[in-house]
Amino acid sequence: MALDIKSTVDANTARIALSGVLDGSTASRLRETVDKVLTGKPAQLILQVEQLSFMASAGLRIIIFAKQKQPNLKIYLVKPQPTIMDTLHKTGFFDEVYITDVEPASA
Amino acid sequence: MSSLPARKTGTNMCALTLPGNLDALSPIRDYVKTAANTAGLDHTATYKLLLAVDEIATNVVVHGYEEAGLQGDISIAAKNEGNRLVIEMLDHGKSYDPNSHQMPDDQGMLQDLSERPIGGLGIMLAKDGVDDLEYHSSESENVHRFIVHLTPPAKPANPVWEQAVSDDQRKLKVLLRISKSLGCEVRLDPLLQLIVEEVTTAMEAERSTLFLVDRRKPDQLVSRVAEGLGSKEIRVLFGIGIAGTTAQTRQVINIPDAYKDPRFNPAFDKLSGFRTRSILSTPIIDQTGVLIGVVEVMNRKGRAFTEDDEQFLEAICVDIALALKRAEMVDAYLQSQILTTSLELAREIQMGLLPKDFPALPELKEVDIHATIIPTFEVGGDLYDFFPLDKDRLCFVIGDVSDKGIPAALFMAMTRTAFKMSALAAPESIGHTMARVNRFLCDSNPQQMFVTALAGILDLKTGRVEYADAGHEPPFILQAAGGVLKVDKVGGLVLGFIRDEEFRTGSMQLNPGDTLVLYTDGVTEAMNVKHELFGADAIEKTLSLTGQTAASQTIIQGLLEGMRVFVGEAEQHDDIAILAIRYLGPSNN
Repeated sequence: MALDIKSTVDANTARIALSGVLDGSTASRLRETVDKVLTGKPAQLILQVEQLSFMASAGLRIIIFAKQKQPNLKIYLVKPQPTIMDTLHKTGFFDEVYITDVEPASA
Repeated sequence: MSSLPARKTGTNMCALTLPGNLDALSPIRDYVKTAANTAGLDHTATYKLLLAVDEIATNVVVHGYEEAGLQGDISIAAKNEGNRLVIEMLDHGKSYDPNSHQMPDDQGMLQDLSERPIGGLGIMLAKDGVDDLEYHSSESENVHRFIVHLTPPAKPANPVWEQAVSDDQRKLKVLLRISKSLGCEVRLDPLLQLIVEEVTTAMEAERSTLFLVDRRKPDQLVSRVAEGLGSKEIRVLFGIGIAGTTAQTRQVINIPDAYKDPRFNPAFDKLSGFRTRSILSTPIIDQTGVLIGVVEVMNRKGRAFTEDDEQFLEAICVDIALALKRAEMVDAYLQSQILTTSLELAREIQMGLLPKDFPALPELKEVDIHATIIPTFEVGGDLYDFFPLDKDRLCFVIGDVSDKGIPAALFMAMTRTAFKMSALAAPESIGHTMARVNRFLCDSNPQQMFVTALAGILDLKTGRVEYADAGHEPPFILQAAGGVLKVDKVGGLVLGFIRDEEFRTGSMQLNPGDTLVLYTDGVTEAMNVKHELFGADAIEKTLSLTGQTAASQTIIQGLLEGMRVFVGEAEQHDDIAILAIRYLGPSNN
């Protein structure tokens, strides 16, 4: 199973919809996408992850990558699956990203 | 993407082998998912196992193969062992031990994401995802084993019992390990440190202190090791504080909250910055019932100490007592070795005080002198000496201090030195010399020791001997003309008793070839196994069997040989000294 990535950027909001599996083999493509969408320094990054069935630590590294690239960036995870929530909890990422069930509007 | 279909065979699945690149991750997850489903794992457990295997497989591919510039396969095999599911992953890349890899610590967790170092997260997820993650590596392969327990650890039917059994097993294992660990250390100081470490670990506590009863002050405990406080010494009086009370009552003290207990002294906390919560204090008692010390364990992790903990620590203390006893014995042995070495040195010094090179005084053609001394211990209280007063006179002395061992040796050294100094300073009469030595010894004799002595001055031209007797054995003269003469005692008190004692002198005549034989009571009182004494008569008899023309050395050897035959297997119990002076007649020059 691969990872399907769809991204859009408006004035200050970057959106990426993920579907499939985020592991060591697919993370590099997502990283490229994140790198691209952050070029315009948006205020927030919204990751739609409802269809993401698996996320390895490679996914966490992308969150770190985004934060390092732009420390003031607000990162939203929309509708993560409970197993992924669990991973975020365990690794301490839960407090660092905004978890939401409703996709936020553009800022 | 190529993946081999995983086929189920009984409880095991056929191994899946793939090239070690990132494309392997997906089929590996599929394989593990099938194994997890077959084993009946629920959704969450399955996901966690998938995550664990995925993280490790990623590490193997990225760090084990790609970054190391290596290529190879990665194999995975599932085994359902009934009560656990084991996923075994095999690779041939660079060894990468997940258990030694640094995990993000609490501080890292709390750090802002942008400051967080990358790495460790995957290992953390892998270890969290399974009950056990085992790893071993050989030259040919690295093996990771992911283990998930399938049966719940505690059955609701009998959970307490099962828990008790597994806890007992753990304790038994810990006890065996401690027993083994303490058994390997016989040096006292490292052992003390080891005990503290082992107890702290075994009791799942934060700190331990080991107190030993001070042998010199048996109402005090002293702690030579306190973890975290270095080697600072803490002293505690019996009956004071927690450890002191344990020592006095020999009872275990279990305190859930130290600061609420009046016996607790918060001073040590203030010094060390440590915050004591709970304390378990237990006496260490050896097999004979003697209190050796007290061990205090502080701050059981997660809770206070229970009654089970009390019993467990008491069991550990049995091992500690044994180990301490053994170490003390080894220590005592080593100390005795040091003492033996000191005694050997003392012996050399003492023997160095006496003339021991024979033939002695070769410039004196008128005499042939030999002497021997055999202390019972390393050092002894017998002495002899001889030295010329002037070109015509030889002074000699034999003596015996009333004790044996080191005290006697010290008194002997004093006597010998005092005698020589006195004789040389005022050589007019041996009686006066004896009186001066007596006064000196009386003035410096707090131990009320005494010395028997017989001293004389031989006129080398005439063979005339003037002698003084301080309670000593009468000497013999082995006459050149045949026969053995016992010299008359002139009477005199032993040295060191009465300060102003006068010493009468007697005189005797040595004819050329005559030998004057002086000895200490170690000769006359030499005892055989039947507790019979050698006696003066035996000396006389032995001497009479020695040839009249024998040299002084031969005479002494003959006497020693006679004693040896008489004594047989019996042990020597007194110092022995023999001095033989053979008068050869006036010299021609």
